[in-house]
Amino acid sequence: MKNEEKHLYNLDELSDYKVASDDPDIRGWDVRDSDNKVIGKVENLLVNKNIKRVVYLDVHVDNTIIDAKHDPYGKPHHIDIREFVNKDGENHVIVPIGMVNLNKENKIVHASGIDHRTFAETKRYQHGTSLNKEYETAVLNSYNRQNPPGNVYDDETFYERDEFNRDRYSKRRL
Amino acid sequence: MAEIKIEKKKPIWPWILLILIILIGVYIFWQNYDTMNDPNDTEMVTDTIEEINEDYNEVPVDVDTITMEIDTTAIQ
Repeated sequence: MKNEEKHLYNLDELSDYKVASDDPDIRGWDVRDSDNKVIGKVENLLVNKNIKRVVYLDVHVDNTIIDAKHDPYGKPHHIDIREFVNKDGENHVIVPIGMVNLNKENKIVHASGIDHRTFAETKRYQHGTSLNKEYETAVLNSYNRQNPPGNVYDDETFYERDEFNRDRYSKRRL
Repeated sequence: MAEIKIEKKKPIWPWILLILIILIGVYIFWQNYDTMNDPNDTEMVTDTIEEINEDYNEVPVDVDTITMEIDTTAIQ
């Protein structure tokens, strides 16, 4: 997965940046799905330097997600989502920051709008691979199956979408 | 609301520089204080007089009546 122009960085790669002192550093926290089941752990934070905030969580999914192999030849709900097979070694997935709640007391990330099946059926990537806009769009389409946004990547406004703002996203789901 | 912002790390080198300046200042002060004492000066030693425990017998002497005799037997 090659990237034409890198716009997302792991926070670990930015030696002169850190999580703001008012915000929690959630690396290492468990990630739970809408049924409160653990699906993995936050391994890194993906940052857009231009807007100076985290836009995705880089989640190392556990074996329950990897082992729940979906049938790529089955009748797809949405053709763009099912046109791939997750390969061995692809055990990371990104989650938009607006689609999670943070339980600071118990150090848990709740992806309350994403169920286990959706996580299992979302395209994963191998740790260390650079992410491109096509992958980001495919992931958003997978998480928003009821109303997939389609090919809506726009450099100017992509990260202003509801999926990257918890307040707006939670109101949309109600 | 899940929002995580990032900020630039504050540089550490100004603090290291400040500590070095303080250490240099302390060293210079200590050097100047040490040179105020001339190593060739003899030190004044104060000593304490110990208590005298010997018996002291005072013999009054009249200087005007003291006579001195020469013993000549030894010469002859």
